[in-house]
Amino acid sequence: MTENLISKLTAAIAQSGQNTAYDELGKQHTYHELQTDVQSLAGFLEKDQLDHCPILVFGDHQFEMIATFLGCAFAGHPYIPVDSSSSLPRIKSILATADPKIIVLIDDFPFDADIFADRKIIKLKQLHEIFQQHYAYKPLTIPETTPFYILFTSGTTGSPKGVPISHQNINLFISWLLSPEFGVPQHAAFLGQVPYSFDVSNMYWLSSVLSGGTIKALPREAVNDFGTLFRILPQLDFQVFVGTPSLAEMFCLSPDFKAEKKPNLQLFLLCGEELTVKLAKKLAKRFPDARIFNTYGPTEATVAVSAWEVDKTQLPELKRIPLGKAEPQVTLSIQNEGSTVKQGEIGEIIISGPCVSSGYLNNPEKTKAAFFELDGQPAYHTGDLGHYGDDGLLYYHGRCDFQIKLHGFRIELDEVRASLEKSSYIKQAVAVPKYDRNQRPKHLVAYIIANPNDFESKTELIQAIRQELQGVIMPYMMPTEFIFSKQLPLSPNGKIDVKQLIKEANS
Amino acid sequence: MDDIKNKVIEILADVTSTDEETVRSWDGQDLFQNGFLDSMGTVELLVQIQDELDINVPVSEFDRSQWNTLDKICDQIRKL
Repeated sequence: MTENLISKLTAAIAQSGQNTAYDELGKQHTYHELQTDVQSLAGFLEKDQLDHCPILVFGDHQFEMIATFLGCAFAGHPYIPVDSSSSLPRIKSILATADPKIIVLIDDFPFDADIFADRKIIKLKQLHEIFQQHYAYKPLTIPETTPFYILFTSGTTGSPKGVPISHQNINLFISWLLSPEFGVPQHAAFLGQVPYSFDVSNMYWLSSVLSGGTIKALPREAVNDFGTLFRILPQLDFQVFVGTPSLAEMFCLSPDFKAEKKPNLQLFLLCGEELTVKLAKKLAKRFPDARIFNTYGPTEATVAVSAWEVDKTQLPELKRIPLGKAEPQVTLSIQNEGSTVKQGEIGEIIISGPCVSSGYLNNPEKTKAAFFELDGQPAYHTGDLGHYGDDGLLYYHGRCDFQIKLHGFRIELDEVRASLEKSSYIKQAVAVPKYDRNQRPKHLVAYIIANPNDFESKTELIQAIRQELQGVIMPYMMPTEFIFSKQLPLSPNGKIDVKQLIKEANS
Repeated sequence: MDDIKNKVIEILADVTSTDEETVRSWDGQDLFQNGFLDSMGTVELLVQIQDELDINVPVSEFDRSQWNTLDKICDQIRKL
């Protein structure tokens, strides 16, 4: 049995004493300060008779964010990180789903606080008072299945789903990240840009605290304005870059983001979206001695479950960056319609093992659709397509959801199909996305079985279809390409094989 | 229409995953206010301008209000 996360954190924080734990653009906080604040808040929460209810923590990149997360966790309360740029409907939905009894406002709440009703509100000033009080904290035994945090997905349709991540889930992940595989240095400075409401942030803040490092926080404002960002960046000294490929791409806009100007930067941990070969090459060229990792995983399986270290010698031949190999104790299998595919075939990536969340909070319907058991382990349907190469590495092939985002609109492919089939010229239709070279949907392709007709050319038929569907189909849902065929491919269970058509449209 | 503008239209069509005809219809409009470009779109726009036109955009002086329409983007590029 591995040591539990709370005892690891307690020991690490105690050991680091006068080292700087947090640096918000020059405003520094030591580990000693973190220790006092965390214990006092945990002691305060323990006195409370509020059971182990979730606590909503609202803010940006302040030191008080991580002090509050840890205080909550030490007292056995799951925390819900909510970014202060969140919309009101999102916050309302989180309150309704998780029912947090305590709200910690590290940033001022920009909306009417009446939505919190009779929940206990702790504002920044009161939080500081709690830190000063030195409440006595008695370490508790917290069951490993207790949620450490609850993270809400960023879904744009419907309500966001709450993903509880247990002490066991997160301990497994962070132990892997701090294993020799990644070579995270001790007492390093970590770039702290990823918002706390996004689970990739665990890659820097938890690993920094556990390894006696310093979090170099980069507040939201600083990144929203390029001018500010590129004035701050030269002064920001860090050894570990944690962030999305988009953030790395943004940094690369500055010709000074290279080893000569950032000689201490030795490790890149990239997560949260697909790393393109082009960007990997750019980073490898600018930082020839740094280790660069592409990591992959959904929130539901705790931050990341696979990794591949960019191998500079292999880069020229690669079409896509591998997702790599699974973390220990985790199985990544490729399935199609519930059974494992043959070696090398594309299918849905299924994650099973102790990294998988127990399911969506208070949402049995959505939980049932995505979570199941596989070989006695909790398992999760990622909705991502992948295959294993001959090299034994996992590769990504886009989403298998039939929902895509095009020009900012979320489009259900099935809705497009149904609209197309309203045309008298169409017997059967399927709409699939065509992806651009960055693997983002570029436009829609319609595969059509046409009804018998007298048109002399396809162009005329397409024109007639477009005309007939005006007003029936939203302009942004109208396919750009029409491909006619006599039959459409079927999957083994007799349904139209949309995945096959997606492959065809993008081959 | 000049070469630079055509190139910018081509890049914007790619960055926003639309087509050139759509981008042309944005002429004169504020690209940010209308939601055609977000901050990641801006990064991609600048990356492509740097890569394809082989010029360096001095990002530390980047001022969004000078890059918010098709014509202003072209003016900025001509100045570099």
